[in-house]
Amino acid sequence: MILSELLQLPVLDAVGTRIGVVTDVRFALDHDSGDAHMLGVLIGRRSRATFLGYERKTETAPALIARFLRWRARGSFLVLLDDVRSIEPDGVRLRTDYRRYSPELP
Amino acid sequence: MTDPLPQAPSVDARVVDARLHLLDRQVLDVEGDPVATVDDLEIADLQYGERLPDRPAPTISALISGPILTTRLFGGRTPPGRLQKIGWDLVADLDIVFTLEVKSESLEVTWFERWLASRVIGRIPGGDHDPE
Repeated sequence: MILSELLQLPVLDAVGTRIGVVTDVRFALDHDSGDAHMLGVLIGRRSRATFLGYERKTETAPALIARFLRWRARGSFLVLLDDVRSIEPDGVRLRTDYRRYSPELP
Repeated sequence: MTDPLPQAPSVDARVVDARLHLLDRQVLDVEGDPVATVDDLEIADLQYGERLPDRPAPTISALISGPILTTRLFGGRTPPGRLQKIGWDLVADLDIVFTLEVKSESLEVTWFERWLASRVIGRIPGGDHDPE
């Protein structure tokens, strides 16, 4: 699979209700091997894509742009890979008891 | 007002978001010469319909470069044969740009540039050496 097949897929909960779209995919780069393991998917509730990632960073400047872009991406959240049941051509399906995490980068 | 979401459990690794940190980055070879830009990423062994909890976490296996601008704008998919891959194992460093551990001449992705240099540019008088 290539990344663009995953981006913008609808995200469905366990009963098939649409809860958003995949806006990005988070990876962890191993310090020793350099391998990039998938950690989870970022889900946007209102927009199909986010711009500049202000909702994932602590930067607040320029203030007006930062506030606007955070507002535009409000409701975004991260779901870890353990809570993703499967990836289908018509959407990403989550487990019943999936947890929402802050999209902020560590 | 809703409660803020909890932070995800921390991991002992560098965390990056593919679209934010990896796509559209320039790729340089070991000597700093530009090779390509990252248009997409190949995720190894991830198939539609697969139950993800039953398997190890998928990994990035290659950087992909190719003519994908039109599919980004208008949808559809670029034929796989037109996408050039650079193995993730060739990546030496990731910063503002990707740096590879090999020279660009050894990569399939630069075949057109090499073909153009030898068959066209090299036949123009003065075109087979650096400017003096």
